[in-house]
Amino acid sequence: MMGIQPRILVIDGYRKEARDELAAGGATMAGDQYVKMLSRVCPGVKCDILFPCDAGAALPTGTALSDYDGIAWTGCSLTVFEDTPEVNTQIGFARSCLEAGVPGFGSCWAAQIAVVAAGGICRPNPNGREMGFARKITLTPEGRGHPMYEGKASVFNAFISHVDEITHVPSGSVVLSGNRFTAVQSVSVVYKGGVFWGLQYHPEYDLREMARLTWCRIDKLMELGFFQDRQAGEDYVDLLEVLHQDPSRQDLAWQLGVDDDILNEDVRRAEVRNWIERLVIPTMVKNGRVG
Amino acid sequence: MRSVSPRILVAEGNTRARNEKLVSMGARTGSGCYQQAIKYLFPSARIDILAAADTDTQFPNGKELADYDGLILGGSGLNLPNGDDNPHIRQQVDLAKAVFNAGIPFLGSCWGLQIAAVATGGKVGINPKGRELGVARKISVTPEGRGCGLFEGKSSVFDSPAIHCDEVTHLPSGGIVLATNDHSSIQAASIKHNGGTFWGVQYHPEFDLAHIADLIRSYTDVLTSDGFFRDGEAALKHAGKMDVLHQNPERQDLAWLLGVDEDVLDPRIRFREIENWVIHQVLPRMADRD
Repeated sequence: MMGIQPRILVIDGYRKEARDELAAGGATMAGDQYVKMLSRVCPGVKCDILFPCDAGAALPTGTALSDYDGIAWTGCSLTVFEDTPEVNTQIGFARSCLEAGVPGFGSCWAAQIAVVAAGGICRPNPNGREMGFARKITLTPEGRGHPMYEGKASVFNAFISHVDEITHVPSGSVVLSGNRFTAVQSVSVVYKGGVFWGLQYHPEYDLREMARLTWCRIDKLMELGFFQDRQAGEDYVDLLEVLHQDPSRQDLAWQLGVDDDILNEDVRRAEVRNWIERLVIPTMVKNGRVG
Repeated sequence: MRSVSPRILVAEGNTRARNEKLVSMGARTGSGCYQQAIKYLFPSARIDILAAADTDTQFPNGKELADYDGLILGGSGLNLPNGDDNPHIRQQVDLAKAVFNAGIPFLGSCWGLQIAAVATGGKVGINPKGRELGVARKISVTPEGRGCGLFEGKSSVFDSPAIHCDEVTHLPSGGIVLATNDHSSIQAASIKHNGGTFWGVQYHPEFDLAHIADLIRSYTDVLTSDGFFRDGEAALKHAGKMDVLHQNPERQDLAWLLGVDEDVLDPRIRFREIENWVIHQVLPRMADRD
């Protein structure tokens, strides 16, 4: 991928207040996490970030959606089935992205919004909040044969944080993986000429980002029963931070029950690399933007 | 089903010396764990224990192999690689050969799987990935395993308690891989040999978290030098969390922290392979005899 410079629109769906709250807790803004991840996977990538919840949000002057080689959506703390202007605007925008035929990719909220834009349904997960590590995600036969999972193990763990889930995929979409907690852990949405690869989990996170997100949510997580008290929450955050700073601490990885699926960036982001190699670059070639 | 009374011989793979250490620290033996599991599933089962690792061992009450509807061999602190001349090991290989030849349903976990493999011409080596400790994660049932009675009703992907540093590297002819994970390519296998049928797993469905905690406490030094714990205190702290969760399975915070779910915490799920073996292998044999 050296030398190839796809132009990617990164959509950070968070509201300003939600972004500020996470930033105050030391978390990196979702859009910036995505830019960082895309740049690691494809060093030549050129990204613009759009905040659709902000008043007056618009593409850079003179730029159309079809000028982008890919559109990457971050997660978000909004709820996709709530009928609010912020949600509806993003659903409409997701539909425009699909109709523009620009390859789409995204995590969590992004997968949900793509599914809803194409006519599917999301609801609260009856199992509650899935937090930290989604375990034993298993590829469906369709997932095993899908280009997004080339080189990925058939069973893996991933970073996760969500309470809603995809309950009905629209016609034309394919469920690529699931686990016991969440039936749809990834999906390929095909709608009006557009293709969107969506993950319920978060390849853009690392242990530090999960630590900061957990820290921002300790009180809520205590209420939900993840921590018996605040100290337990802070100990957990410390554990993640220490392991992040010193990946040689195999003792901590073992105690958390995590392996390369979580700790090795190349393994964790195989889906992103495959999206660029198998969808973004071929689309660039098709549009005469490469070679 | 709960009223059936199969006669099951549980062979203890550890030597008397090792078991005395476990019992003195308040832990159960491996055969004790199996006895408990079988009693949980089939309260009327008639279970005998055979001290299979002790060279002065005898069948209980003058019985012989043919008096049993099934034999189980569980774990052991012994190691097959470079253990060819060890009499505690050799006699267990001989026992396994006798079980195959007698056509008695044969179940093994960990050491039991390794012994069955070696007894039938397979090979066991040291796992290059090191020790698998605590919970064997992301075990996947193979298509052959999916079709085997051993995994009836079990998820296609699951976790189970485990502790081992050796693994079966080569199955004998007549062996089929039934489950696998990243750490150990043979997590479960069946072996047909000389008219006998063996089903075995590399993990320990018979262990609960409390037993894993006991094993961590009994091997603290070696596990610390293996890198699982920074020091003895960290080992005790971790084992303590496992104990609390075992005693209070409703502590979802600890289950989440340790990354375990009902695969490990719910005995009906964890024991499923044992239950399936009794139903599909032992009870038909019992019906034949009666």
